[in-house]
Amino acid sequence: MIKLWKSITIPSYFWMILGTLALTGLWRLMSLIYSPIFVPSPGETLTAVVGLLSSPEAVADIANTFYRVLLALILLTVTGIAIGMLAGFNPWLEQIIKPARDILIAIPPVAMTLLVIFLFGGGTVQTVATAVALGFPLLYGGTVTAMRSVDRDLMEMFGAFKASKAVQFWEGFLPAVIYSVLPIVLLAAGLTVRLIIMAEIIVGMNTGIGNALSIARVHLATEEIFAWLLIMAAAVLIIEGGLLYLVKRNLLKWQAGR
Amino acid sequence: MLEFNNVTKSFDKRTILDAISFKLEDNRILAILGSSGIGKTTVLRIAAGTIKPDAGEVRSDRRKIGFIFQEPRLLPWRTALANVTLVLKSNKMLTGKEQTERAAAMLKRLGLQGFEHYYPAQLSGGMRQRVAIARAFVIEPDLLLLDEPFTGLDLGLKGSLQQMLLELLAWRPASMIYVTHEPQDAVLLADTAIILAGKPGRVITRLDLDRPREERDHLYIQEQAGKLADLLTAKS
Repeated sequence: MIKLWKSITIPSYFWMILGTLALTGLWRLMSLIYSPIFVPSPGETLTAVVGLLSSPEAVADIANTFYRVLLALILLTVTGIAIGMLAGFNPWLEQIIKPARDILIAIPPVAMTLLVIFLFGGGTVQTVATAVALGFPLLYGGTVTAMRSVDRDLMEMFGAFKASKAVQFWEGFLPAVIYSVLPIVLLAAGLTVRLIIMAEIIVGMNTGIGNALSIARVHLATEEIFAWLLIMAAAVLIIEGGLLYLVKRNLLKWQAGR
Repeated sequence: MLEFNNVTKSFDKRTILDAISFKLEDNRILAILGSSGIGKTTVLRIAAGTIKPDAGEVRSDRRKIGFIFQEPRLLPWRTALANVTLVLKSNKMLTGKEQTERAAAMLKRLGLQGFEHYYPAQLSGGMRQRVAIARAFVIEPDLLLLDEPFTGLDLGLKGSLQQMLLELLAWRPASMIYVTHEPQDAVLLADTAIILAGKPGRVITRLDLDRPREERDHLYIQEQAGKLADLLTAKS
């Protein structure tokens, strides 16, 4: 019997499905214990998801949030990598940036969002800026570390062949840093979704998933709140998974043989 | 011609090389032997101009320097062709198309036709080292610096790569410094061998291998390699 059990190869996704089913079962149990006002059942939530996805207003909210996430992610990636590379080349700049970076890491996201509203008011720019400021230390720190771990042997090779500074940068430094930072960009993508929605709620945007969540909360539409949470989780998974697919397919072909 | 006159080099106040002198004539091959950490690679770095000596003089009329390292040192995110083209990119005399054509021709000469668009991770160790050799030769070097490029390869592969190297040198002659710790390799390839020994490293002996390379039979190689090995053991 033990031998038979050991000979069965269980695919890894089996355990993932099992985990999902267990979570759904727990959710269903909670919905039986608590009133539907507090915990709607998985079925009710799924119906609410379908309802939301077939409503043009909800789709517009998703599109607005997605637009802000994309904008924040692009700005975050470009500024984080660019400033991180500059700091990697200039240790004095790294020291200048360090206090600001430490403060950004220490400040709770909610407090930062409140500070931005207090100083600059609410709006898309402020929402995106908050997410960029909060995600910046992650990308910046990753880039500085990547700069330190650039293969010195490869750099020596460039020097031995008298390659120009431009060739060294475009062919050596930049790809080395980008390939090291890619996993952090993927991590930042999920983080940006969460930060944007949080900022939308606190800033009080009148569009976006954050706004829809706020309205659902005011109306005590718990199944809608749960539905938005499910949509949020799906959005994070889709964005992370989609980016991972694109990155592997287009940028990491060279790792295929490893 | 490349000439080292009393070249000295220290790192972190520790002298690595002390009064190194040798002369390398055009299209000749000099082998440098010595134990690990003696400063053989430092000599190559100074010859390549990537580091400066603390004292002494390096005189060289060599302009185009090809370097073959112990590891291939290929950019993992670039194909074999792009890795070879890479070293031509700073050459403003060639158009992009000419650079690619020249790199492709060099890969073909090294038996890598059909593998141009493979990434280093998709190539075997021997093929990667051939790409590194192609990269060194594509610039049409007048000085080649080899830092134990065949270490870790099996005997058959090492022999075929050494043969390939000699054929390339016959096709496009260049002066060469070949760093190795294998006396047999030195006798097989070089015209002159010097041994570095001591702390700091000094040139302690020089052996001229005056028999033409094509006339060096097994007995001659064994005899001269034995001499070098004895000198290495005695002075290490």
